[in-house]
Amino acid sequence: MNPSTNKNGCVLTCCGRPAPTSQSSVISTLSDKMPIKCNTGCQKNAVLKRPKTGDALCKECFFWAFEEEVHHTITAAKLFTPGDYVAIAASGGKDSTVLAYIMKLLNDRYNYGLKLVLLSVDEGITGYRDDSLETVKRNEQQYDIPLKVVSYEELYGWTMDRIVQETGRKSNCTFCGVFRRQALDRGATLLEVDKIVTGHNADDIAETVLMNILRGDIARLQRCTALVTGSEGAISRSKPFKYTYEKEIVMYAYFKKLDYFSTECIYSPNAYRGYARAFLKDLEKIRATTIIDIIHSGECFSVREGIKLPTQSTCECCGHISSQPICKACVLLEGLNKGKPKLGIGKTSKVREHMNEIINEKLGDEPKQIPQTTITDAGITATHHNKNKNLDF
Amino acid sequence: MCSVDPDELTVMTRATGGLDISGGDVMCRKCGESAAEVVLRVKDAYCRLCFLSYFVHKFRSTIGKSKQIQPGDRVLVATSGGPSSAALLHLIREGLNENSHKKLRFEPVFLYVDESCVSNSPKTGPEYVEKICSEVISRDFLCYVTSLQQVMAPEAHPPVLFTKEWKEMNLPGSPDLDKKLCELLTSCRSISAQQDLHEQLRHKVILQSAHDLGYTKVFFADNSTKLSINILSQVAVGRGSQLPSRVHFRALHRDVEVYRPMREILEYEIQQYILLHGLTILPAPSFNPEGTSIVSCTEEFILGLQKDFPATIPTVFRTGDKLMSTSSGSSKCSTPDVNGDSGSKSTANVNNDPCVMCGSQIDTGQCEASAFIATLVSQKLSCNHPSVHTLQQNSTNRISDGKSKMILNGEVNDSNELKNTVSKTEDSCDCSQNSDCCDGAKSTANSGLKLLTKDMIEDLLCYGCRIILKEMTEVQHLPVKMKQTAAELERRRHMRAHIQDFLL
Repeated sequence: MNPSTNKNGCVLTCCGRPAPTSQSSVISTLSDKMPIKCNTGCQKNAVLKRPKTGDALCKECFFWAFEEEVHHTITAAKLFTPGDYVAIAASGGKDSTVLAYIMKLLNDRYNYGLKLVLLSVDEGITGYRDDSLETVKRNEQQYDIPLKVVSYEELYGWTMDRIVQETGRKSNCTFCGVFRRQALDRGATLLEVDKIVTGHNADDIAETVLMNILRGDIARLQRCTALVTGSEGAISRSKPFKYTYEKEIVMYAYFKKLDYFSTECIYSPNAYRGYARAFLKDLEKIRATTIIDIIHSGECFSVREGIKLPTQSTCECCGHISSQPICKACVLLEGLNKGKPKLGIGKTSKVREHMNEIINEKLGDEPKQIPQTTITDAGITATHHNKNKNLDF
Repeated sequence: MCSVDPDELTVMTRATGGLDISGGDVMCRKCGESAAEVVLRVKDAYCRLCFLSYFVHKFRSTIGKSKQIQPGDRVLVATSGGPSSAALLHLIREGLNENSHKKLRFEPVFLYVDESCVSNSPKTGPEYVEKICSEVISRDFLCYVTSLQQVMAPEAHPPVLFTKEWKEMNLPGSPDLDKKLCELLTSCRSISAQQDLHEQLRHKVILQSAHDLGYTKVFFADNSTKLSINILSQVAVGRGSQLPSRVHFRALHRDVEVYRPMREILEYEIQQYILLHGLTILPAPSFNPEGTSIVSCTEEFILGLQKDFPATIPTVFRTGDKLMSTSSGSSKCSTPDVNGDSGSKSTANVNNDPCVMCGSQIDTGQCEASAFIATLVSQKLSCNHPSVHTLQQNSTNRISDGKSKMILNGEVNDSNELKNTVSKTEDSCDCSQNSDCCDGAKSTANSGLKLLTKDMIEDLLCYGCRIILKEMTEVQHLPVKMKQTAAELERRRHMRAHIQDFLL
């Protein structure tokens, strides 16, 4: 935490909370000295220290730097073409709130020519209903971007609460992640958008690189640092915040007074990802640029010849993109519906056995359909959590 | 040979209680005849003989299946006196002793690098040299000695052969070089950078010695645990592109081949081997700074995770094994249309010169939508003059024409100039120190090349070494050879740029 002063001379830490009293001796010497000038030479007093580069900046220059960097990411990777219809994946958390704000701002400032819409997913986790719904609805009002909500209940017939009851707390994140990804795709297809943008930031991507190394997931390791993902037939997703630190997003939201709902998913603590996250936070304390360094390392990877990689085709049940004959979502649903909640978590051989039974049964019948989505109106409640986005991209 | 299905994700299962063999009643799982003495992988019990044969088999098969070591090959084995080195020494001796077709057939000599000048106890250096080298000699091998400060010398002294009549002054080196080396290491502000730099220097010395002695093959005694920690810490430091050369069995550095025959053996197994054979470990004085660094944090993390999830180290190791790095020209770009000249726009280096500091491929020749360019842009935006705000008006006008690339060029060109001004105020070349590096004439980086600034050297380094350079307070402390190579490369670049249009 680096002390900085606001206009009244009160001392704030960089997150805006009053500095703990044990630092008062340090702080008093600082406030005696000349206030630090903004590093760009614009002569204003610096009010914050950038987590990314360590430079002291004033508010306006920080806003400028932040926005320009996102703009640079967008233009360098040619994410959009004028006239695109773009869905912003919104959960009500800090990333999606700031993302919605920035997309709107840059679209106006630089004339991207985009048509924007907010897309929200309701997992059916109780406890978040009012606040996060409020945030997303407020975003809709403030930024004048229309909103669409899709829920697990209507897509799959299950809410996360019920799923956790069935499976316990060990693999609930797998369920939520797989379902959420398809839910986003289905919502986007309904709206007929051209592209999806998600709020994954640099910390998320670095964490994913580390986690994929720890789990030995070569295929994902190759894909996870790409700015744009998605293959033939699927709607492409991009991550404009790929090089933006989480801390800077919070700082931006704080100084711009953007409000968001921040809390942890009640089911999250047991995820394996927590280890990678803790490790990343420790590394960041030692050296702040590690996050970008990890992403750079990830971009330099490729796979040796002769290593088998799963190929991508489509699911036989629902037609969604999948690397197995039956996609994971269908497998998980099948398990839930038949009372075998561990199907899909663990041995793939058991999955194959089970699914072969099903297919054989159904050979004479019509192909199995996942309940199709129907247009939902905004009256459906949206519940979200922020910490555990689906990071399996 | 067994192989784990490469498609299956390792299911991370928590370790439940380990097997307790202290009662002496658990039988070996392999032969079922003798009492178990060693427990591997939490639950597998082995008796003495079965464990030893398993251990030796791992070593031999690592060498054998690669088919790279031919009979009669001359190999330089780098030893540090630590557990892995001691085990390697013993294994090689046993392997060579064996009669029949199973005999190891190469001709090893050993090399010890004395690092006492940068350790906490410099005085004990010569003592350890004697101890470690006598150990090697007692197994009937030749042993050479060199010291870390040789990397600072303009002309490195070739390694000296250790004999029974060894005296302290035989150790190559001088107090002047000692001082220079210490200055170099302390000029890095953080411990992580110091450790990284030390690793690169040590590597350089060993390869240099191999070159001087005329060996084209080198063995390193890195074990699986150390390599897994290396994989993660290298990724964290930005050296992901160099992973293959630090982790695979065979790596090529210029004209020397580096091998890691112990790479599939865990540290725990090595410790058991040492116990069973009663080998001596000699912890030589080495560079060991106090405090947290990236490497120490990674080590703590991996070892801690390994306790809970015993599959961690093998998985990380296998992942590292499967990776290759993309070459600098064709690295993963996110721009939909990758044109051939995308790498040459923003950074100066696109050719195949190796990094001046660590000798590996330069990995910063990437397209605009990459992490490296993003860092450059951030730096520029954080220290810009107000004139940039007028750039905003220009860009608003131009973007609507769709000329975003031009802006990008303009921006990044600005960054090079701005970096020049920034770095000049940072380091002032103290001309009295090194007369061979500048003639006292101050000039910009684009002309004259008489003044070696951070900027010039930066372009010649890979991503990981750039981070080290950024932390160094004084660039002139770099080894003389490195500076000479850098200056020469810079001159060649200029020559090339001059005649660029006429090269086919």
